[in-house]
Amino acid sequence: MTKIKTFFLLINLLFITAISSGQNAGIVEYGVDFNDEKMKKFTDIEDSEKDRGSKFLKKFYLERKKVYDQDIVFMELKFNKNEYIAKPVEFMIPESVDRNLFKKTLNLVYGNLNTNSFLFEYKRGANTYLVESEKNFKWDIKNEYEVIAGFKSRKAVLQVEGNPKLFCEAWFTSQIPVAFSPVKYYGLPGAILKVTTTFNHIYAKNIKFKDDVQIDKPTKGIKLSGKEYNKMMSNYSPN
Amino acid sequence: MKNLFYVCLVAILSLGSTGFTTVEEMGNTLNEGGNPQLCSGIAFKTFEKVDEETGDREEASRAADAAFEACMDLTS
Repeated sequence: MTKIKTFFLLINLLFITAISSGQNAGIVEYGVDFNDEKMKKFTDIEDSEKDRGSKFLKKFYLERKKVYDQDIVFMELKFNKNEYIAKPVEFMIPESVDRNLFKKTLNLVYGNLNTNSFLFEYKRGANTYLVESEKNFKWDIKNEYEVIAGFKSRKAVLQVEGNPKLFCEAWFTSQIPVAFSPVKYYGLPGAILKVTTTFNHIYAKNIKFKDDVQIDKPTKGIKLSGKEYNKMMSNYSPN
Repeated sequence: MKNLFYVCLVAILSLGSTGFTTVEEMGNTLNEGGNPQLCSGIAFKTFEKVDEETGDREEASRAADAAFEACMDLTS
């Protein structure tokens, strides 16, 4: 009986290894939805509201909603067994959107899982910054599951340390053995296929596996450490 | 020039209690190619509001920059 169990266990392990080895590289296309629920505080204000700041923010976020209501690919993530890079794709802004009010919100992110180094790009005005992320995010992995793009995924939530208002909810799969992430929060034991931040839901629409994918670490931009970035962010001045 | 300074000062101080209520009026009064001082105040308030609600300073900067640009357009 023990021999039979061992045999099936080995077969199972071989099967999982065979599947996993074919899923070490590929391209994931992500769609984006506006986070209606969380953004209500800005978008649900009455038309009779007198504060023009609140009125401006309502318009600002409703224009963004119009953009993200499109069922298209907004982000592409390439991965191989050691690295990944996620980049926002170019897309058409609908005619009805006030172009002066729509600001691109998705960041390029890069991760090297061998060296445990992570970068994200931050653009402001004419400047591009490459920020080194030095954080170890402490995820709380839940016992909730969902199938996303055909993969069994598990829920994890993150409360960003030192900033109780910043949260992130992610769904990751260990069926893809590369721990990639389309956002600047990383460190889960699997690939993130869906992630919700205050502003957006980013979700995998298509996953194409390949034999290998070439990834180049981004180098263009003003390099900032995490501390320098936080310092820059702590003082706002108009661009 | 000195008068312009006082007009801006009054506008910025008035923001403290009424938020953004003076932008259009100021635009009509000044009518000279954007008012960076006034718009900086408005942008900063937008930054504070989004940061306070969400804790996301990158996003707060984005909204504040948009408010600054819109204000500059309005006051030009």
